[in-house]
Formats: sequence, structure tokens, C-alpha cells
Amino acid sequence: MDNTREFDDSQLIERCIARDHDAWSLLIGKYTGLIYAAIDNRARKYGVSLPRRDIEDLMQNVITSIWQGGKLASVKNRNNISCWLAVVAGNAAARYLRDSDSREILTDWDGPAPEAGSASEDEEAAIRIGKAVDGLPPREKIAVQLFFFHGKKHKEISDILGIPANTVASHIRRAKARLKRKLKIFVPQNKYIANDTLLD
Amino acid sequence: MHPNEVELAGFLDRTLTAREREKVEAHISSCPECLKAIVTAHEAVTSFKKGKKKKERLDMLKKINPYLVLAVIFFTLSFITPRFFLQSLVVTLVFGIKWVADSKSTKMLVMIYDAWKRGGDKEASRVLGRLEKEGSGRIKSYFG
Repeated sequence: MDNTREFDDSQLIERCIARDHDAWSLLIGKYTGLIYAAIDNRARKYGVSLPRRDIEDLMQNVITSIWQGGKLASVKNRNNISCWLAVVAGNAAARYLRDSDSREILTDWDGPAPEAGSASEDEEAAIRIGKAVDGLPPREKIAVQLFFFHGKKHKEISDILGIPANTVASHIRRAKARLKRKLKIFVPQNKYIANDTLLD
Repeated sequence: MHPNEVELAGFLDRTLTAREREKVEAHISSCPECLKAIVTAHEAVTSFKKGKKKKERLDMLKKINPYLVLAVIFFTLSFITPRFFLQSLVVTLVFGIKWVADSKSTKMLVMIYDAWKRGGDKEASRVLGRLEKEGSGRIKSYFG
């Protein structure tokens, strides 16, 4: 097989679906770094820093399961499978952490805690903000969550949601005003609001 | 019900229909796990693309011959520093000759000339054939 020619993803995927091992090696070779990053990122979201060996084992599992399960046939965007691979690898990491008994998974707070009674003052404020956010329209709610709880900038939110950065800015501004009306409190800066942004 | 991996990926790379997108948005707005999946996948893809661009730029830089760069720099300097005009031009000429001598095309021509000197037309044709097989289309443009 001619390794020097640059094949695009759709050509390689077609050949992989036809069970061409060489095409599969080429395709995976292109995206090894991405699969590694996706697994590592997802684990870090749970507060876990996986050792390199574990990540490589997970990578191998992901690669094997895609090939053996014939999952490539279900991919819609065959011109660029980077997003799909990142989601699959990230989910594999999440499943591994959930199934693993030996690890304590520390979850980032990104929603209201179930019990408000025994929570600290900061946590209470975060719970109230979370409940107030619940009432927002879906796209605004996602923008607010990404901004406040995932620490994303406007440009990144715009990239994720596929909307202009100006629209993101106005969603956040509107959400802040709405939250301020609903909460009627001064929200202290706390670790649950990633950007340490006051609702002023 | 959680969106499947194809739907989540479609949300990120914007290949979903408007209706599908609305459905996924409605779900992830109230599902921290799926939102986390989207965020971490987006981060991984963004850093992968940045790394890929950096590698492409480095590969491009590697292809640039340093003697050519030096020749251009000294040629420019010859105009900026009139006092050292002649000296800069001489250095430009030296690096220019080095660039030409260092290039792949020149090396091939030297190989063919060397083969011709050793064994005449037959030997030169043999070397030419070998170089053509190795994929050098430029040889044909020199000899028609």
C-alpha cells in the first residue's frame, strides 16, 4: 500500500468498512493524539489524572471496540471523524471511571446539589443559582453553564454551540439579569463559579 | 434518553438537522454528563487541531533551505547597510551558490553527469531510469 499518499478520512473509512487493516492503521495513526487527549481530558473533568499506562490501555480498548464492533459504519460525517472519535474515547474514559471501584471520582459541580439543608453558605448560593439557571431556555442555559461552571470564554462557547460570539455575550448578559432578578442576592465569588464572575 | 455518540459528535461538528440539534440542545441543557462529554470532546479536538497546525508549520519550516534564507537576509542587508554593500553581496553570492549546490535537483544532475563521465550514455541512462523510478518527475522536464 502506498503510505506516502495523503488519504482523506472518507476514503480511509470506506476502506475500513471493507475491512482493510492497512487503512485502519493509517486512520488510527492520524488520530492517536486525539484519542489520548480525549481520554485524559474526560478523566480530568472527574478530577482524576490517569497514568499514561491506563490511558494507553483505554486507547487500545477504544480502537479495538471500534474495529471489532464495525462502529465506523454508523459515522455520519466521514470527511472528519475527529469529533466522533473524541466523544467515543471520552465516553470510554467515563465508563472506565464509573466502573472502577478503586478510584474516588470527584465530580465538578455543574448542577444543583440534591440536598440543600446541610450545605455551606457558598454551596447554598450555588444551589440557588443552579435552580435559577434551570428556568432558562436550553441554549441560554447551556451558554450560562459553559460560562459559569465550565469556565469557557465567549469564543469557545460560540464554537461549541455554533452561534456568533455576540449572541453568546447577549445570552450571558440576559441570563445574568434574569438570575439577578430571581435571586435578588449578591452572589459571592466562590469556587463553583469558574470565572469568578459576579452577577452585578 | 441520552443522545448517542453520533448525535453528540454531530452536535459538535454541526452536521445535525435543525430539529435534531434542538433535541440534543434540550437534553444537554439539563444533563451534566452529556454536557461534560461535549465540553471535553471539544477541548480534545481543539487541542488536536492546534497541534496539527503547529506540526504543519514546523514541517514547512524544515523544507525551507537555510542557505536560501541567509542569502535573502544578506541581500536585504546590502541595501540597508550601504557601507557594507559589496561585502553583503559577496556573502549573498556564496550562500546562493551553496543553496543551488545543496538542492536535490542539482544533486541529481551531478549524479547523471558523473554516471555519463564513468560509463557514457548507457550508464547515464541507467542512472536516469533509476531516478525516474524513485519518483523524480523533474528529471523529465530537464531532458524532455
